Amino acid sequence: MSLPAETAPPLRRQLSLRQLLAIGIAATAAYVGALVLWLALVVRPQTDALPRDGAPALRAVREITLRATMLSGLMAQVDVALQTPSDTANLALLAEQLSPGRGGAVPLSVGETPAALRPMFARADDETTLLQNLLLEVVAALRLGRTARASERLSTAHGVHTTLQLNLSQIQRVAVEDLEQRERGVAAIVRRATLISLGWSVFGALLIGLWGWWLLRRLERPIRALERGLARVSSGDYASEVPVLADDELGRVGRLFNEAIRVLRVRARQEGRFAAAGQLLADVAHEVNNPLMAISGLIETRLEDGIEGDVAREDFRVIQRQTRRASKLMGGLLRFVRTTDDAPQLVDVTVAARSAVDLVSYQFGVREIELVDRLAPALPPSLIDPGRFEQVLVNLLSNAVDALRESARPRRLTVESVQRDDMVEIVVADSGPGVDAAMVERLFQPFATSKGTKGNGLGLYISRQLLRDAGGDLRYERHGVRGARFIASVPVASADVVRAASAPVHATSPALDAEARPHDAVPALVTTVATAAPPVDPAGTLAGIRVLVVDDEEPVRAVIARFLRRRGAVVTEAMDGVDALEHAAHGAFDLVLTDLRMPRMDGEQLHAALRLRHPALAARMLMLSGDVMVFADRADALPADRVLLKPIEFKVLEAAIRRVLAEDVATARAA
Amino acid sequence: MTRLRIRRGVPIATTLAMLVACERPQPPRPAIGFGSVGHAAELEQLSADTQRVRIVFDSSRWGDQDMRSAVTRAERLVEEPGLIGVVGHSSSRTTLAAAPIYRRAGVPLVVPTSTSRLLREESNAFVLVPNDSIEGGYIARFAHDSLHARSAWILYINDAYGVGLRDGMRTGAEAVGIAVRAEVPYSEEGDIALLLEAHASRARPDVILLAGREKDSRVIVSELAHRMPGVPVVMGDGAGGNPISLSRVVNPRVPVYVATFWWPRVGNVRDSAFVASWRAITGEHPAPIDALKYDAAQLLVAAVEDGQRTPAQVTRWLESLGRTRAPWTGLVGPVAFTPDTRRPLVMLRPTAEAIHVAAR
Repeated sequence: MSLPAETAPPLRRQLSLRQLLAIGIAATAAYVGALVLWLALVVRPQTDALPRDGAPALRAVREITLRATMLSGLMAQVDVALQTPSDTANLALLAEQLSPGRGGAVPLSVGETPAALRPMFARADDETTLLQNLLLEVVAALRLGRTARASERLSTAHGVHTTLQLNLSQIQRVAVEDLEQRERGVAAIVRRATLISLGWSVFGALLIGLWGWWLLRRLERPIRALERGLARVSSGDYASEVPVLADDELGRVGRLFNEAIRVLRVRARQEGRFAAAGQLLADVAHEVNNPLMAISGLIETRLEDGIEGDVAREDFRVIQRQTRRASKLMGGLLRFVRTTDDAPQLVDVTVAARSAVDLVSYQFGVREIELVDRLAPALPPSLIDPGRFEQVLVNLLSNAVDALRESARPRRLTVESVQRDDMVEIVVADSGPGVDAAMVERLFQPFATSKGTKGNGLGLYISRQLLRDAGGDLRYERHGVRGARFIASVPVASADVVRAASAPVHATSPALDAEARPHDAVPALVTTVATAAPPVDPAGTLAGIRVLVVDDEEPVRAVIARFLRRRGAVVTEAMDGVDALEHAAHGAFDLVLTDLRMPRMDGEQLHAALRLRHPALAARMLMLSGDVMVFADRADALPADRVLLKPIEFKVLEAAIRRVLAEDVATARAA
Repeated sequence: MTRLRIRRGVPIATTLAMLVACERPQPPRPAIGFGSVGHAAELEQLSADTQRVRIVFDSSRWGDQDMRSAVTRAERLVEEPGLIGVVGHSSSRTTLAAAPIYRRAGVPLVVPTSTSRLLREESNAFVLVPNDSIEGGYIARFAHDSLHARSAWILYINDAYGVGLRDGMRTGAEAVGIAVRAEVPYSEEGDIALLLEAHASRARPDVILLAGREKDSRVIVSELAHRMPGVPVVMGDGAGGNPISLSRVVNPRVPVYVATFWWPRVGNVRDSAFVASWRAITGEHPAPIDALKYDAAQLLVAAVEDGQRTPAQVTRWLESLGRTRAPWTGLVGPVAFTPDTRRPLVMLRPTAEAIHVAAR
């Protein structure tokens, strides 16, 4: 196997588009993440800290105010108690209220408060403790009846209380200022954070925009090149390729695009050659079929006349068989090379396989290849383009023949058809060397070939594509120790399709049908219910029928005329369309039997002219041609069953004449 | 800047790197701050002899018991370059006031003498002594077991230390079956005699439990000698500042006992060495508070010697004691800061002749 060498300029190593996108997304995420982290880790703690740090001050203010209020109340009671020192119960209650409770005397959390407030809180804490102790002493003095001492300590307590109140006022003022300052601080931080976030967001958006612009610029050139390439391909230009600029995804797409272009180019080249060969073959077939027609006609006439001697008679029969064989081969070749319009039809795959085998069968004898025919006789039809399906089978058979050519004897080629579920399979197996293991992987890829320069490596690739287009597949299996086995499968046509196709219509492929009917030995690929040639009545004659025979080749015309006259027809001969029109203008004819290819005016032009001048006679035309290619383009002008392929057996020709005349009578009666 | 001679062939980059290295300011020597004033200079002399640390203390005339002074001192200390830890403060009240300032600055606070259980809520406070609940329970149990007391009065100074220890004493007394007949709060500046007189009508207790300080304890013992002679007084650690004050507390008519956290053990080399050094510097026998401050300072010095150079490192180092590190051994014994670490308590019995250890 060899792949076509390709020289490509060294590619620039670049980050792939996926990597670029990943980097872009990661960078964007990191950028946004950093912004969020900055807000969460830098800004948020500051905004949190300000109110959080203010809270202990508020708690301390509340605590010290509460204590001071409570002591003020107790002091008022002590003032009252001083007036009624004999109320011991009240004094005991006051002593109890003034005693530090369980867990009491917890100092203020001065250290938690803002620095400006700490000295004031500390002093206030000291003053509340002192005030409490003084009041305790006052109560103790009153309980001992020492009113003067109590009065003296109470006076001191009042002084401390006054100082405490002043201190509390100062604390409240400073605390409020502190709170306001914190609020201003929070507002400033929020304002600054907002501005910074906004700035960085705008900057980030610009960066993303720049990155996107740069990415677009990088994408633009290769995408435009691809667009231009696709436009050229769609317009039929397979010559130019797109430039592959870098080793990234678009570079790979470009490379694959160029590969596809190469495939298309080779296919186009091949199809061009194929079409040219088909045209050439059609011309050749015309030139060959005319002499064959003359030969076969003469032989048929001579045999009908009776030949003296068994040896001579047998020689004539051999000539007749070989003529038919040559005609059949020519018909198959013409069918194979004809252009197709990709029209799926109901196809009997077994018949198609036999037809393909016929095409390559000429090699079997020379190559000493034994054909094992296991084609099943009755398989359901499949909906597929018959020409393409035959192309696939010929390709497989040709490969098998090639493989067998170099292998040891016995060389066996097996063709098998089988139905598996809703698929019909044609198996082509050979006893050749088989496919190399390394080749198996790439067997169905384009340009994979083991034939060296003889093969282009597209046969199996295209074959599989054709089958897959039809819903089938092509696969490879090893065939025993040696040999290869290719299985072409196509789906069985659905019942609806078969039912629709079973309506009494003419063959959808007139070319195939027309060339099939004259040669019973050439099987029709297309399953059709078109009207078959009626059995020829040997006893019947064409007596009295006026036939205008038009053919530019005198030997052909003469042998046909001779046959018709023998059958009792009144024959007038014309050398081309112009001559035929002349005859038609001056004489009456029941039927026109004309060649298609003629100088001056061909059969089709004659038909058109007759439709204008003698429409009734135009409806009673039969045409003969050595070229089946004409039908592809002219089927709309010529009824399919009015075209016969040369060479034709006279009994088939006679049956066709009778059918035309019968149809004309039926049409007239209906009218 | 050091002047360098640039040799031929020496890469300029190397030279520049050396210059930059020479220009880089040296980090300040690790500093240990003292939150209380007493004997700071002597402790500096004892603790900083290795030159590895600096002892920083506030030499202002402000007292140790003043909350405002404690707060101001803490604010100054946290600004000290190279500060890796603080020893202090002298009382529960001032320590509680200052601890948040150190916490906010991330500075560990090794507390030598403050017993307030509220300090447990300070994450950066590492307390060397048992809290007031344990101390109060120990005092009550001693009164019950050794003095066979069945009833008691609790006299306490009206601050965080006094109230906290009162709670401990009360709980301890209830636990051992001592009936608390009276609880008398007082202040240092107040008329203690008046307060005692106000309670004189109550039943005489078997023991007086006292949560006070040196000065007021002396006054109270003197008062009790007149009012309730023979009734033993068991004091908390606040009364046992130093041997001199203890000797002043002694009154022939009142048996006095003082709970403390350290007293030199006979034959203990470490204690003897410390006492000798202290005597050499001050000419006096060290008080328990001196030993505890010394331990606290030495603990921070040990952290520095172990490679800890920042407050955060020292904090983690202190937390690891008894967990991932072996406890550090000081005058008070093994020091760790796990919940199950036991702190030593000693009951002293000062007399006119000497100070005896009544219980350990």
